[in-house]
Amino acid sequence: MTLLKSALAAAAAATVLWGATASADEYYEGKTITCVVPYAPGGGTDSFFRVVVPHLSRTIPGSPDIIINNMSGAGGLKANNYASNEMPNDGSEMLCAPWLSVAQLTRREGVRFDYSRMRAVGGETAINTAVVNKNIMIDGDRTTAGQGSQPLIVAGLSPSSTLDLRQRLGLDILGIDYLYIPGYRGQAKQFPAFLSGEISLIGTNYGSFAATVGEALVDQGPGMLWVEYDKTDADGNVLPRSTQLAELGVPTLAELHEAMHGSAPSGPHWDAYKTLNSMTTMGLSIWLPEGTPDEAFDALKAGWDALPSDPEFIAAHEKAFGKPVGFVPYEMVAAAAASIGDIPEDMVQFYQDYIAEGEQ
Amino acid sequence: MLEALLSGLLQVFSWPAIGYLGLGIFLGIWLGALPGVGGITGLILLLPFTYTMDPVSAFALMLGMFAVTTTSDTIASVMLGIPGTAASQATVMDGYPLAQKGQANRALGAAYTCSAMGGVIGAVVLTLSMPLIKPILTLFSTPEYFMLSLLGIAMVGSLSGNSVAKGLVIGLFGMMLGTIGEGTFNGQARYYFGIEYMLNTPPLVGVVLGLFAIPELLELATKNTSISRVGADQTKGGGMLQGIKDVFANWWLVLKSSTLGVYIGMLPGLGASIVDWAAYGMAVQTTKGKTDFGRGDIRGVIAPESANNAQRGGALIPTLTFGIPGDFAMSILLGALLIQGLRPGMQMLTTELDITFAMIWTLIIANIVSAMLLMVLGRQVARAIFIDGHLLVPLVIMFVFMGSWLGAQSMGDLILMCSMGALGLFMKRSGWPRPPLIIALVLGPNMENALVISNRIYGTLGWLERTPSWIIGIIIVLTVAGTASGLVKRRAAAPIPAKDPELSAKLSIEGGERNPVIAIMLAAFFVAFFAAAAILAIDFHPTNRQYPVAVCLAALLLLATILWKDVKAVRLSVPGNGGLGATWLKSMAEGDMRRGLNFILWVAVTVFGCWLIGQKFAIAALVLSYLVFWGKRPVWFAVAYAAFIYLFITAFYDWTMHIPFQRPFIGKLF
Repeated sequence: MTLLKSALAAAAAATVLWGATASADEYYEGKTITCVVPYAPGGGTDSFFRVVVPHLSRTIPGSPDIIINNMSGAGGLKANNYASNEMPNDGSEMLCAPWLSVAQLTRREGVRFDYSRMRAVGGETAINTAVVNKNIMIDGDRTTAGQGSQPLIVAGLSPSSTLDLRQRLGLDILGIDYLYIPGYRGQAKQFPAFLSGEISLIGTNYGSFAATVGEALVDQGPGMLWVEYDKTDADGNVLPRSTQLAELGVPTLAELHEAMHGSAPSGPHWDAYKTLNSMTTMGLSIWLPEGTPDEAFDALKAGWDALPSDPEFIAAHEKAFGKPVGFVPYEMVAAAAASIGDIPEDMVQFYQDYIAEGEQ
Repeated sequence: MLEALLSGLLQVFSWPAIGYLGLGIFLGIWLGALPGVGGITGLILLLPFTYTMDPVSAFALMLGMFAVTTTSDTIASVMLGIPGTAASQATVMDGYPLAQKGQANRALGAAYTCSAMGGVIGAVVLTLSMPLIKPILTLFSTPEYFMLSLLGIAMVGSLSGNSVAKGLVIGLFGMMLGTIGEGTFNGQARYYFGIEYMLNTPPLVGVVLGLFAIPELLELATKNTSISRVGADQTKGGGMLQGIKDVFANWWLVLKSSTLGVYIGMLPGLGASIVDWAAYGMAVQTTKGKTDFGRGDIRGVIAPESANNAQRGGALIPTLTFGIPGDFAMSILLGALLIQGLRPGMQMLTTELDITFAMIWTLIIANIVSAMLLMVLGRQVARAIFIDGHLLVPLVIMFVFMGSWLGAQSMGDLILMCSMGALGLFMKRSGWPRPPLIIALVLGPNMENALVISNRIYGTLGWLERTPSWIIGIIIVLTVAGTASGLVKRRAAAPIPAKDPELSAKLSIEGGERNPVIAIMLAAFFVAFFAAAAILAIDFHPTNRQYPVAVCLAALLLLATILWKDVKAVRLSVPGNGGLGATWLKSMAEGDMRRGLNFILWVAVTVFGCWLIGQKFAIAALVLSYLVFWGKRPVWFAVAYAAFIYLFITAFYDWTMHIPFQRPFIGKLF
């Protein structure tokens, strides 16, 4: 009897699984998907998805056509608001964007989206780092940052941006004096200011570093990679660091703290830093609106999951960005997405106060 | 280096690169000629096709297309008085009056020739300037970008004709429009009112098309005329050859404007939107002897058209050598560069120098070939100025609607375009100059950003001690002094009598109409606008508040002097007209405001229609109703024209460009 039950259960499971696979296989056949990118063509986000899209079109079962719609506006909020509230939930459109979790958490003006009502398909690993002018240190020693011949002036985008929050938290954790100047939006403003010596610290990620920042500011300018910002999971545990920056001899922030102060970092800034980094585990990611059929989700996820082992995509990615493909494991994506609602209110208040402090 | 130069040339001439270059030139001519479309749209369209190409082919296609849009965009500027792209706004000032005088061929001939020359000069200066880019970039810090923006604003005076105070107020209005949206230094949005569209500065394209296109379409619609105010048999001295001769006679202006174009292009953030105005302003200020700027002076076409093609070369320098995209178009090219596996930097000047030279050759060849092609086609194109205006209006209005929509793909774009159209109508009727609004809208946000950063880093006004800053400061003082002295001279001198007073009266030119009552109405609107903006700013974060409040106060002071003068002038005429009410009615009739506002209402209803039933049907309905009611055409003809418009929107904007359209409200009900 037990054997019969087990056999029946296995047959039923196999049927359901086969059915799901079959329907996911067929779901996108002959269809077109619109990839909504929240920024204008040409930037990092757009370039990434323009490289991804032709290959994703191949790897999604049914090989749908994918077109890119650049829905720029309001610093990315417009497309996120659209995806959360108006995007058709039949799988014909997907949001292809940086994960603006901090904007939702800190209730930034204009936010009408809610990631808890959306579904993440997958995300790219973010390796966050900073380039500094060598002259802010003594003899290129990273532990002497802030003691060199040049003042430490941080080029910020806006006090509420994730990048700026991470920069400031990092410096506060290390106890380094700095001047924070927001308003440097984009490379067109940051690069000339860095080269002329007006500013001395620019936050970036490894992708941008490999593409443009390294050549312009390090090879041709006075810059050097200073630190790698630690990655953390939804429970606040520090995750293994990237191999790329480790090979270049760049310490993590926690390592730099150890070297400077002889102890592991701790305190409210460190807690806020870890929470922030857990919310930005993914760099660029794909989201679907609430109510999207499972067949569509399964097909998209299958296509996304196939990319890191697809030789054509790997070659195109390395050619364009000069770095290997790095995708976040889906379990971590799902856990990070789910954790936004669990962040305590006092932490939210901390961020809001910290943003207000940066606005002074 | 010589080897790389030749290798680059050979690569461009090898197959398939040369084929892609030809395709790029063809597309560029077409896209540039469509108002509101232009090179950036073309780059977005072409980018996906370049993934699988080799780098030289990819850039032959993209740069070939991009380089020539600033040549063909002249067509709309000269023929319709509507800037074809952001880079040809200033060409309207003198190009359109020339077309109205029946000299479109001359204006186009001059524009094509100097575009080609400007493009080639730009490419040569690009080659010679590559080693200079790092010193230039390290010399200019944020305070210098503030001073350069201020210099641009200072040019507003020279673009304002005799109404410098009004020009300044319009400039300040443009600066206020630039303050809309999320503040640079904190997350607070200014003048947001909970409307998502207001989180960003209004897109330039909607402002330009509304301000310039709607009033010119109105002229064609209400005056039952062709673009040319004279018949085809009455044109004199308007041949293409004359235009070419004009360029060679003004070779120094071509050289000056092209060089200015390259260096403005080189500085990140200034870019294509102001280069034509800068060159035009320079031409107005530095031209000696008798001038006829604003009424059809060929030098007013030569200067901006030389500069805007040269700017393309200049903008490439920081993009290729440092990965600094100076403007939006360069961001797309930078993206294309990366996707091709190329890295901006020293390798573009060393190991990849042949590819860099291939790009430069592409610019040179595209500029020359497009000019030649357009000259061949030009004679046919220029014939359009003699076509009945009622046949042109529907086609152009479709481009105005769809071009505005490309700004942010939001209903806000269409509302903005319609509002700017109404403002443009009032400004045109009352002699308030429109160009300062554009230049201030572009430069205003940069200026505020640079000022606040400079004060924070160098101390309040401490940055004035920087040598490059005060050198630019001296140039600003000289510019303002030059404008003031020009104004004094113009006022002291007797007005130059028009050669043909009857024709002059028919021309639609900037500042050509001066209805004082409408001017007062406009001034009153601006007083209300600036007062309200200042009051709303009180609640802003201190960093967000200073700039708009200072701008509003300056505008209110200027408006007080303008109103005092205008009211005085109207008061004197009131008794003669039989009272205030009669004066008002007379002015409205003189300005043909009833029909003007009727036309704006027509546009507004179409905007509402776009929201209700979507653009395709609403614009087609506008075309149909326009041809029947305004153009008095047979219904079958109107239906056929509307069907063509519907199909064009569907085929080009929907199927080719994949533009997301407004979802019809009516569709949401079912």
